[in-house]
Amino acid sequence: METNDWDSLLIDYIDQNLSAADRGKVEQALRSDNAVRMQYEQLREILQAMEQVGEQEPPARMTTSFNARLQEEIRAAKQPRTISLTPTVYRVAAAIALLVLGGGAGYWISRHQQQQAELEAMQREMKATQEMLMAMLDNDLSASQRLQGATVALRMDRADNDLITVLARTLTDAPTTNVRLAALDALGKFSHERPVRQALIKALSTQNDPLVQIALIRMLVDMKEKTILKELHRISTDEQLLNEVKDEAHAGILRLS
Amino acid sequence: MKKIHLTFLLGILFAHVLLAQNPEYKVAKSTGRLEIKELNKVVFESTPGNEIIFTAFKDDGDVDERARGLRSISASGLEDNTGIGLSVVEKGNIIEVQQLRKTEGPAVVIKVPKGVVISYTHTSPYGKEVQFKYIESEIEVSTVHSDVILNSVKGPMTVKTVHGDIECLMGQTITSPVSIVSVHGHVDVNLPPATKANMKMKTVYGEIFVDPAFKMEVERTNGDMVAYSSNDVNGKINGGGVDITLSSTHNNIYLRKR
Repeated sequence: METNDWDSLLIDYIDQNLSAADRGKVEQALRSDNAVRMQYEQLREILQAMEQVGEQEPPARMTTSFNARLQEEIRAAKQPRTISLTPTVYRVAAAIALLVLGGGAGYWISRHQQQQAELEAMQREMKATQEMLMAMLDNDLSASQRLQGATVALRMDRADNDLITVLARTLTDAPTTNVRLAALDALGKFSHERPVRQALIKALSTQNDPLVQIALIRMLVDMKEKTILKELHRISTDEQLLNEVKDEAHAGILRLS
Repeated sequence: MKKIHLTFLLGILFAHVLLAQNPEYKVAKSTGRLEIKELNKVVFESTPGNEIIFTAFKDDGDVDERARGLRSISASGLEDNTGIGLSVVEKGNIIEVQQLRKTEGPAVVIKVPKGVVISYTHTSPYGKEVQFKYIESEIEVSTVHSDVILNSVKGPMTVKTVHGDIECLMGQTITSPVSIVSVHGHVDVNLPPATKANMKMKTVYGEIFVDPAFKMEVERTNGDMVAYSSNDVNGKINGGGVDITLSSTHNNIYLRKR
């Protein structure tokens, strides 16, 4: 056992803080080992001396000096703490690593914020455009406004359910054929979406404008929508309809069969 | 004596002018919507004023000697409140105009202020054509049998006919959108060569002819390929601008340089 280890054991022994096993071990060493015994004697004297000294008031001059140095230390402690690394290569590497990390984090945060802002701006713009074109599609006084609304819809990359609903209503209810055709064009652009497909199928049975009927039949046949076959049979035999509409329905049946 | 003769002659001339003047009906209106239904013979013109002016012209072929002294009435309850064989009813911002007679009716010129939207609907087989001359306001036309002649118009306009042909001479400035469609008739449009437009031309059983003066950038849909077999030709002329849609299901489309 090292001398330092014996120091702590012997101090604890003198202070009577050891467990029974350690105390036995120390007492055995004291009996058998002269070096330990000498160490014990020295420690005991030191500790006894320390107990005898007691508390002493420092001189006033020393207190003033101490306080002055303490204030200096406090002031120094307020300066930024530095971690000293040696050798210098480590410091440089740490500095570069800090720069890279800090720069990267800053860039990421800035980029993220920018993307977030751009996304929000795009969402706002898209919502505003949708609201504007839905207002245009509902304009009762001007067919051109409704047509313009459908044309704007045609240029949009995606359509939400509200827009699809308005376009489907326009396709069926707009008083002007041209507007219905433009709405059909716009819906056709999103025909891969299920709600649009369903709206087109539904519109086939309610459509009463021959021009739109022809365009709608052609679109659904191009989409290979076989569920309309029954409706096409009805249209092809409806005496009330124009021959051209019936012919288109008949051609559609042949293409889908 | 000479003076008396001159006065007499002037008097006769004045009376003749008065008698020969075609009957007119005016409605003060500079905005709103003019809805014309089932007028068989009508020409629309523009006026800088604030009144819609209806002028009826005599048509010798229209005179029924047996009906002289009688009043034409309509099964739909229309009333000739204009003295020219038309029913004109104002409903808020909309003025509804219909003729009482089904088969013939007066030939009418209607002058329209540029702030009034013109809506013309005709479904009966008794009309021949409807004309629009130098119209600056928005036009909506829907006919079943009549041809549509548009002369120096600027748009916006939505024109549709089932059996009629459509002839259109666009003015120097065009306002978007322009949509002209026919099922059976041809669509023949003259555009100023400098027109900047996004063109959509569509025919199912017809052909599309374009003046080579128009350098059209045809839209490519499948990657970099142009679908020549497609029924639709979409493209830009002079870099794009106003939206112009031309469609004829069973007939041809002609796009000419004005």
